[in-house]
Amino acid sequence: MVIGFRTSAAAMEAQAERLAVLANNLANVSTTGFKADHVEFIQSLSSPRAAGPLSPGPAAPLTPPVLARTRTEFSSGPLRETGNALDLAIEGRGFFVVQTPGGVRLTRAGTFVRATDGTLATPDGAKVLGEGKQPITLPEGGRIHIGTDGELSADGATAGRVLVVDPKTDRLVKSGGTRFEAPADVDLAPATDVQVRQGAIELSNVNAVHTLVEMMAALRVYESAQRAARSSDETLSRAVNDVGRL
Amino acid sequence: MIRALWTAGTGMQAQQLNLDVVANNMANVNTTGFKRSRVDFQDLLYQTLQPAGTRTGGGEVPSGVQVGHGARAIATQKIFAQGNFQQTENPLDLVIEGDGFFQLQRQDGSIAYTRSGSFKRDSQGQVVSSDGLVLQPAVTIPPDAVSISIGTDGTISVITGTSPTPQQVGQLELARFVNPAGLNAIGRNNFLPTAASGTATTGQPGSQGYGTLSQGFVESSNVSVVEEMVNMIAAQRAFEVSSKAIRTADEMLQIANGIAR
Repeated sequence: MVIGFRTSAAAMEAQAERLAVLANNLANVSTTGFKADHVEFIQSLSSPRAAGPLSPGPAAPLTPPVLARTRTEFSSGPLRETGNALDLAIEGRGFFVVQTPGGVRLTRAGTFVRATDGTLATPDGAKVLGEGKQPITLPEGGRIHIGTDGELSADGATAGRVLVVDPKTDRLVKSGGTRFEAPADVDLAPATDVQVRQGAIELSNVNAVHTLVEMMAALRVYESAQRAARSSDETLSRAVNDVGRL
Repeated sequence: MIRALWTAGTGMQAQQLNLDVVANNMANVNTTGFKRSRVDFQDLLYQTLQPAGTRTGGGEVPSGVQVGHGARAIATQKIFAQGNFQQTENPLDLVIEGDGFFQLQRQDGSIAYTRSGSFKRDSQGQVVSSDGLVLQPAVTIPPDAVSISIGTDGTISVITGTSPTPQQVGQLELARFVNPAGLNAIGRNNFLPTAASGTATTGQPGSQGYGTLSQGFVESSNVSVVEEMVNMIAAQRAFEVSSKAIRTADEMLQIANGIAR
C-alpha cells in the first residue's frame, strides 16, 4: 500500500521535473543558438515484489519507479539574416570554440562582438578561438569578410580563421551561456567541410507547439498519478476502518 | 515545481526586455541618426542532477539529467548599420558615409559622439547640434557668409558678401572606435565611450578607415518598421508561452494540494 503511494509520488516528481525542462525550453524560445532538451523516461527495476507475486524474503531497498534522463536535441535551428559583419552561423554540423574563465567551451551562438583589446569575443566577453586555439585579433579598419570556411579577412588581407569543430554530440554537457562543455578526452580537431555564414544567426531550435503539447501531457500524467495516490489512500482507509467491522 | 515557475519567470522577464527594446526602436523610426538595438539572450546555468556516464544499478547512463534555469538577456547591442540618406538642402546637414562619429562638447567639457548630423548656427555663429552642444573642432561661421560648402573631406569654406572667393573657416574631424557596439547610449542621439568601446581615435573624413561627408543630407533612422513588427509579434508570443508554463506549474501545484483531503 505504502509502495503505491511512493510510486505515485515518484511519478509526480518526474513529471514536475519534466515540466521544469519544458519551461526552460520555452524560456529560451528566442535564445540564439539554443538547443532544446528532452526528457526520457525509463522504467526502472524496482523491488522484487514487483517482479513476482509476494515473494518472501527481506524487502529490497526501493528505487524510484520512474527514472528520467535529459537528452539535448542538436538539430539546427532556422537561420536569420541580420546583416551584421560579426554575426556568424554554422550551416549543418559544427561548433564555434570559445575560451571562458572556466575553460574551453563550444557554442552555436554566433552573435560575436569586437572586444576592447580588438579580439573577436562573445557579448559576455568569452574569446572566440581560431586555428591553434588562439584568440583572433580583428584588423583595424576595413570591411571584415568571413568566408564559408571561417577565413577572416579585411580588404583582402587574411587575419585568421574562426575555428569550427565537430565532435560527437552525445557527450557534450550544457554549461550555461548557450555553451557546451566537452569532456577532456573528446577530440576537438578542426572540422573539415564546414559552412560558416556571415551576417546570419541561428535561432533557437525549440518547437513551441510541440513543447506546449508535451507540457499538457505532463500535466495530465501528473494528475493521473495524483488520482492513483488518492485511490491508494481510499483503499487504505477501507482497510483501516471497514475490514474490522462486521 | 518551483523550479518550473522560476524558469518560466526568467523567460517572461527576458521577453519583456526584448519588447522594451523593440518599442524604443519603433518610437525612433523617424529619429535622425538613430541606431536600432537588439537584445542577445543566453540560457542560464544548468543543474546536473545526474551526470552522464555515472553507473546506476543497471549499467552506465549514456546521458545524465540536466535541468536548466531559463534565459537571460546578456547584452543590448546597437546595430550601427547605415541608415538611409534623406535630402534636406540645408547646408549644415551632414551625413557620414561609412565609419565615424561627429564629436560634440558637452556642458561638463567631455566629448559626446553622434551620427546625427543636423547642425545649426548659434547666436555667435558657432556650429552646434540641435541641443546646442558645440561641434568639435569648433567652427565659427562669419555673420556675413552667404554660402557654406563642406567638402567630403570635412573642409568648411564660406563665401562672404565682400569676397567672392571661397575662404576656409574650419576642418571637421571624425572619431572612430574599435568597438562601436560597446558605446554607451545616453539619449539625444549621443554616445559616450566605455571600456568596451575603447577610446576614440580621430581623423580627417575620407582618410584610411574614416567615412566621407555629404552636405545637404541627413542620415535617417536605421529602424525597419516591418522587421520590428515581426520582432514584436515574436516577443509577445514568446512571452505568452512562458506564461503558459507558469499556469501549468500552478495547476500542478493545485493538483498536488488535492492529494490531502
